[in-house]
Amino acid sequence: MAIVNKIVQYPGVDERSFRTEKKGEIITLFSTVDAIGKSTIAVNLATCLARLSGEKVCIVDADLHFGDICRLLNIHPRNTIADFAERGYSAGEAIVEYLEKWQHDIFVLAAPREYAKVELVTAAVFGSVLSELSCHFKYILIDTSLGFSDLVLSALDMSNMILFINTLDSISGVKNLQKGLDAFQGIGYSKDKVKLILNRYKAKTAIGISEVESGIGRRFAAKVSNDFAVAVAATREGRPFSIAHPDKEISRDMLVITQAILSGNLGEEKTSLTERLNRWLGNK
Amino acid sequence: MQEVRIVIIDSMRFMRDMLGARVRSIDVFNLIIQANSLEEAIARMEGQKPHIVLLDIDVNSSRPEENIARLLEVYPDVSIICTSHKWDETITRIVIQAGAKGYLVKPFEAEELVAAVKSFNGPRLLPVNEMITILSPKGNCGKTTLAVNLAVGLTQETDHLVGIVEADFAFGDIPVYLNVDPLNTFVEAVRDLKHISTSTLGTYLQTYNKSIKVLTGASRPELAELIDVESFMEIIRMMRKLFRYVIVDNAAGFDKRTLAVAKASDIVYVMAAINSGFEMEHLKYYLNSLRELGCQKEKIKVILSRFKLRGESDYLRQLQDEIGYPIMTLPNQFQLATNALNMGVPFTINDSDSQLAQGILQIVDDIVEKTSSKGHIR
Repeated sequence: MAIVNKIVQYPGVDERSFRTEKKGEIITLFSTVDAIGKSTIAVNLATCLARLSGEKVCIVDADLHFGDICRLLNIHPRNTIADFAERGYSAGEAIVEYLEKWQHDIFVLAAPREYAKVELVTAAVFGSVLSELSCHFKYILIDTSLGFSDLVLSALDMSNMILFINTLDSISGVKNLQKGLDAFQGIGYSKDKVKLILNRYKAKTAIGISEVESGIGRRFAAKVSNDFAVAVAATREGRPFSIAHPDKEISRDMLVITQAILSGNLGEEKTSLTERLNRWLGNK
Repeated sequence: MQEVRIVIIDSMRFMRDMLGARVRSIDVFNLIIQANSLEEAIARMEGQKPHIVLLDIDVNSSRPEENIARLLEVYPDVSIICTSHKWDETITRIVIQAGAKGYLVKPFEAEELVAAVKSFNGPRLLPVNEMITILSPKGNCGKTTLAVNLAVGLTQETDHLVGIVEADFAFGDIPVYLNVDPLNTFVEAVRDLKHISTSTLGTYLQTYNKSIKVLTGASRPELAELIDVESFMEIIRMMRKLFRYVIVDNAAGFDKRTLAVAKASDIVYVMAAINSGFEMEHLKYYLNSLRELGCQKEKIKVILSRFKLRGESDYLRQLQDEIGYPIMTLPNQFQLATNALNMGVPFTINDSDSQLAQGILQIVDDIVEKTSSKGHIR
């Protein structure tokens, strides 16, 4: 196969050193409301995952028209996913040649830059990109556009974990959270696969967390603090706040989420002492 | 009502027939001549009193400005709309300078032709009605807030009926904003389309008050896919017969339905919120793409929401220069807008003195001014 035989010419990328024994874990960031911090969480999660696991992480910007991952990392991409779809896919080139490198352990597959090229990125191309990437990276983060397009659905299907990002700004946002959960249930995803993340936690919102949690019958698996100033500053600097402002609460929240993902217990309810006691006493 | 007499000049037989069918689909249009060359058309137009000529720019393989001059020489009163298979800014400029009234990319929908005819205030014969479409590159920037408050404002300033179309089918929020509980939605209307006429569409609409009615999107995101472009536009055409103003609230980004309705609209508002600083890139990309897809620049207006009056005027100027469109702004009153949404009462009703409401009412004034200059109002 061309992909295997190819010596990768991308500077600093040696394909062989990339191949992992096991398939990498695909994590998709999803939302039913726009502009609530999905991409910001993606770049911060990527840096935290790389740091804590010591593994290479790839971010796929699947918000094909308006993807901001490169802007958030101040990358000026030479190649995008559309270039791969146009040239690399049929030629059997390795997807890693189309990645942009940020620092030494974060890689980005950039979103297209021209409207006309977006349609080249079909769900089929996208699916093969993901399965190829999962042979090279331990962690693949997919940043998506809003809602359930065909592309997003194929990302969700291939994902090991879906981080469903929400805020409590308004009733309509919570209504769309419920719509998203209903759709996931309709598709048949397990509750385990979909983790609810609350962004802008502790913002001055009229709607309370407990009201929402009891309303939807689900708990938020994790919360990210509201620090608009730090998030905006990091955006302008082109560096994730986890790196630029590691001591801020918002950065610590990202570390907590990352640790939970790495240890496989994100969103798992802590068993209460009484429950544990009862179990050891043999009570039901 | 007097008819609008139309001539099509196009050397491609198939295209001529297709455009002819679209022209005929509008009641007030009367297709009087289909010709395959300029001279043939000029000969046949004698005594026919044509109002509008649809002139293919490639006809006679000569320069389009010469064709326009020749046509106007013989029939100085006709309005010429040039047609072409692709959008071309230079040629558009040339033909407008030569005296054409518009430029349409083929194949266009009947509604686009109506919008084009109205945009140059051609024969004042068309049923007066304005369709206002609200778009944005990214969501969560105030489209629905603008839509519902424009509707309220228009009914406050005029005595006309306003219809709101929720074309954000998957995640639209109009029912929350207006506190209505839809029994029927677009999905049911499309399902029953064969049996629906303008007079029965009303049963699919939700009544907000005596002047405002709403056709809502799908109740579940997966149903949104059932609404195809053709059925959507068919329903839009019916809405236009029922309401003086039709306001279409769209999903963010690109969608075939969104593009079809934008092309057929009289005014297209493209919104963005001041947010992370990437709104400039998103706007540029979006506006360029809209143009490439054949949406006329003249009817696009850009609105920037969450604008802070202090400290952001330099940024506004820079943004205007970058994107090449004048920008209207709406002030940042996030709390007011969110409360209105949470309570289901548009702020133009309860807080009409607020800066944000005033900003929207200014846009309402613009619309009313533009439309009343078109003469007869129902």
